[in-house]
Amino acid sequence: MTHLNYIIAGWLITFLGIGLYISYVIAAAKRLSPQVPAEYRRWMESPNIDLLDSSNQGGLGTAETSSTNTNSEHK
Amino acid sequence: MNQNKDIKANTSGAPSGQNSAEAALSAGVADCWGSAAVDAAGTDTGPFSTSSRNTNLFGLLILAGFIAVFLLAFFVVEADRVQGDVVRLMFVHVPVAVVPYLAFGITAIGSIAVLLKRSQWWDVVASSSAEIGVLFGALTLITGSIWGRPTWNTWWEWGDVRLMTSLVLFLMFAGYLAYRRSMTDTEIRARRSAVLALIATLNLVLVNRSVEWWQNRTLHQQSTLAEGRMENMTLFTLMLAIVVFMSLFGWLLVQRFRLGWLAHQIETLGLEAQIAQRRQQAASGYREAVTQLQPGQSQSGQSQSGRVEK
Repeated sequence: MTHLNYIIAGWLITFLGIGLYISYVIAAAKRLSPQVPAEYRRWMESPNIDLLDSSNQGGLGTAETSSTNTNSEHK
Repeated sequence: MNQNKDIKANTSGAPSGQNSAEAALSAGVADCWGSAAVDAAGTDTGPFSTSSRNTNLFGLLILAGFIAVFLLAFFVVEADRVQGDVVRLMFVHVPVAVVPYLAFGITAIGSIAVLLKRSQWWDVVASSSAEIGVLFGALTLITGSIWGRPTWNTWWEWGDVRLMTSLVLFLMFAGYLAYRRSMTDTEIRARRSAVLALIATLNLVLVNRSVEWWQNRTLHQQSTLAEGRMENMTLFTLMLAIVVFMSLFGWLLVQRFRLGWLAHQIETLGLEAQIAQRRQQAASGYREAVTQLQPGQSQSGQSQSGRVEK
C-alpha cells in the first residue's frame, strides 16, 4: 500500500479528534449533572415527564410535574 | 465556578431549607423531587451523564457503521488508477467535510428561531451545533492538507478559493464560539450570537460554490459525485461513510445539547438562588434597620415636634 503514512495520519487524526471531543463532552456532563436536580435533566426516563409533549420544549417538564417551572420564562 | 459549587451543595441532598440559597432552590424544584433518579432518602442517584438508553443504542449502531466503513475502505475498495491507495483518505475527508454544512445549517435555523421566538432552547441547539461544526471544520482542513501533500505536492495553497473559504468559515464560527464565551447575559448573548451566526452562515454558499465560480483558482476538482464516474463499491463506501458521519453528528448534537442544557440550568438556577438570597438579605437588613431606627425616630420626632412648637 502506497502513502501509508498519510493514510494512517488522516484516519488517526480524524478519530482521535472525535474521540477527544466525545471524552470532553462525557467528562463535562459527569461534572455538571450532579449540580442539576434530577427532574431538570430532561432526557432522563421518568414517568413524570413527557418528552414528546411539544409544550415541553424549552421548559422543564409539564405543568403536572412542576407548578413553579422557573425555566419556562426563558423560552 | 463558586456559583456552581453553591448549587452543587444545595442540590446534592434532599431540600431541607438550611440556608436561603437552598430554600430558593427548594421552592423552585421542591415538587420535582421524587423521580426515579431520587431515592427514598432524597439523594440524587444519577445517572450523571448525557446518555440515555436510546442514545447508547444509536451510538453502538454508529460504531458498527464505522467498522463497516473501515473494512470496506481498506479491504474491499481497490486503489484508484490515478491516485493509488491515497484515495482511501477520501472516505474520511469527504464525509468530514460534509458535516459542517449540516452543522452550520442547523446553527442558522436555531439562530433564526432565537431571533423570532427568543428561545433559549434554540440558542443551546445553535451553539451546540456550531461547536461540532467547528470541530469537523478543523478536521476537514487537517485531513485535506494531509491528502493534498501526496496528491498536489503541497500541504496548503493560499490561492485556492475552496481552502481559503473553508478556513474563513472555520475562523468565523470559532470566533462565534469565542464571542459566546465572553458574554454573561444569556438573553443578549443569544441575540447577538444569532446575528453573528447568520452572517457567518452566508459563507457556506461561497465554500460550496467556490470550485464552480472560480474554476481556475482552485486545485479542487468540480463536483463529480453526481456524474457517476466512481466505481460502484467506491461510491457505496463513500455514501455509507457520509451517512455514518452524519449520524455521528446527530449523536454528538444530542449529547452536546444536553450538556449545554445542563449549563443553562445551572446558570438559571444559580441566578434565581442568588436573587432569592439577595432578597432575603435585603428583607432582613430592612427589618434590622427598622428596629434600630425606631428609638432614634421617636427622638427625632420629639425634636421635630419641639421645633414646630418653637
